[in-house]
Amino acid sequence: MTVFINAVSAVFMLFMLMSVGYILGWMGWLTSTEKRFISRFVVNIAVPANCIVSLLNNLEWKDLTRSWIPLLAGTLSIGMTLVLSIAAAKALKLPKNQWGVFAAMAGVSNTIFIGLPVTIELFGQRGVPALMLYFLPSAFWTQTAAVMLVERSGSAVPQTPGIKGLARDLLTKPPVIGVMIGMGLLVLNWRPPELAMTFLSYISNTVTTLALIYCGFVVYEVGLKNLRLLRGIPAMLMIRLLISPVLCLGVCALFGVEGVERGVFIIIAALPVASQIPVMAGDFGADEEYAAIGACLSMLGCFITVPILMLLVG
Amino acid sequence: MAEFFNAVAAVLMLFSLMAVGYALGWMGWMTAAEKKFISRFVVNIAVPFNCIVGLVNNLNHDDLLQAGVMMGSAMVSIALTLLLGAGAAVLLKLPKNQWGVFVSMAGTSNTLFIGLPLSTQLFGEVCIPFVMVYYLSSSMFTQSLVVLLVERSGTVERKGVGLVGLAKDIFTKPPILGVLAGVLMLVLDIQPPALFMKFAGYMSNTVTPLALMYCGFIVYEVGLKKLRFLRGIPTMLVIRLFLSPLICMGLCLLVGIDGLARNVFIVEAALPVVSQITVMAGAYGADEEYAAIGSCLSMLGCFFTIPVLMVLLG
Repeated sequence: MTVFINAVSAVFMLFMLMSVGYILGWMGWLTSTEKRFISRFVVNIAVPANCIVSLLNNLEWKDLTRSWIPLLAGTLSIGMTLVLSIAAAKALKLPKNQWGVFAAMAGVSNTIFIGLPVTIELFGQRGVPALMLYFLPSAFWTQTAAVMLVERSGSAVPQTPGIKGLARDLLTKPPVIGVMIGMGLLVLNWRPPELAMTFLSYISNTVTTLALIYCGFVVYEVGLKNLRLLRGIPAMLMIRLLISPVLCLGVCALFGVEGVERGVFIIIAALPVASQIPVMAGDFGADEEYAAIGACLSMLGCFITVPILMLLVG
Repeated sequence: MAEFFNAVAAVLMLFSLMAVGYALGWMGWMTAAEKKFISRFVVNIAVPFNCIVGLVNNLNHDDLLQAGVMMGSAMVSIALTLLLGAGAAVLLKLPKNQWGVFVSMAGTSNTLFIGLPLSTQLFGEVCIPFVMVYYLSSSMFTQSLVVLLVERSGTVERKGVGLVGLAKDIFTKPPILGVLAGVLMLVLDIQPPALFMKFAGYMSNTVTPLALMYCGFIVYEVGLKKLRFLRGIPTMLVIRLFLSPLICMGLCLLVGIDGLARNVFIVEAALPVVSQITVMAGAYGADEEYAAIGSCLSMLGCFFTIPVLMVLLG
């Protein structure tokens, strides 16, 4: 029961931080200009700093040698969720400008903006390395399958970036670079001077607060009044919040992923829609509002499903 | 010697965080809009929570009485520094649109944006109550005398606000409300719920990085090339960075304040120009560039004077 109460209070905390973003939007202090700044700062500066700090503080070189197992488990479980989502989109006969968005929303979860704060709040910093191991395959699927799915729903002419372009897109993402640097330092067994570590911790301490303020502002931008269960959204929420963690649980059992790693994987698999999807939908000319509403509802929904999942995982 | 290296490390750390703000400005990620957001967010939301956390975690009921005496002596030392500044301004025969700006710059120091991060880095969290005491005393002046001084240098018509207006200005400032809330909790022996403290902790985590990024951005805005020693600026720097801590030290000796409280006060007295002065100078039509250049140079200067000061204190 304490696990459940802890999870409820953790989730409530995140909710309070999100409401700060909502209120800032309502007061007019936060607009799309500042939103862009927050997202750029968090994704490109604060999150990479957090990746390096938490990898160095929580992992050792020998832990890395067996990290291919969770990496594989993450890749497989997200892959399966994506396949299931595409099948559901076909079965629901969604219109062209929605079905790819639907599949992308149901398939990949928000590992950074929601995932990092949730992991820190529920598992502490020691959960972060496991999150990184989930983040890598998730970034891979988001940059490949999710982009292509949303593109197919869009009106913009698809450009195929090719494998080279794809690899470049993936490997130049600052959070991925942060993970790589962290792992590189672990392999070299070199810990940067304390001064550099404190600097990075200061920066990374802003992640939870700013990322959730950002998410709260996104809810404000869409508008609570506009949130309604459009066709396909209930099915998407079902896959995203319930079936995805169950698939992840199964894969973890299969690969023998256990302990904190398993707990983090299952919770992260159950998180809301990746925040890039509404942005991508807008860029490609797919149904952006559909994506925004789906993202918001999944964000609100996870506040209910995560405590229940923690009860099962804990 | 250990104090010196410790102080150099602390200063270097703050410098790196400022460099992030400078770089963000240079990259065009941060502009006037984002600057306004950061300053509003830090002053009105993050700092008030920081005050509450700092007070409740580091003080108890019994320490409060002593705080009154400390506040009195801090106020006297700031008043003396302002007087000295006024004397120097008269001797230097500064033009009308500069002299009030000069006195304000020489007289009061940046207790919050620079003072809070620097003291925390130098002395640890335990110093926050003393920083708050100094901050309270200092804002009594920045909200009253400093405003009047800058106004006198300006071209904008003066409007008398009266004592009531002045008191209202002081006691509706969110950081002061935060301090009052913290003091009230101490007086009534209320320990806020853990959830609230955690929320406040998340908010205060953003103070140091965001406040210093803000300062770094200001240096970028003024432009490193524009920084030059205008007439009066060297004198202002001598008063601000050397004489002000000396006066404070003398007063502490006289009143019998010692230990951590004394050291925090002296460091607080030796900090750069208050960030509002530039804003006020712009608002009242005084010499804004003079204020901006003075404020930047004092910021850069304190990175040299603080380590020296720490050796003397240690």
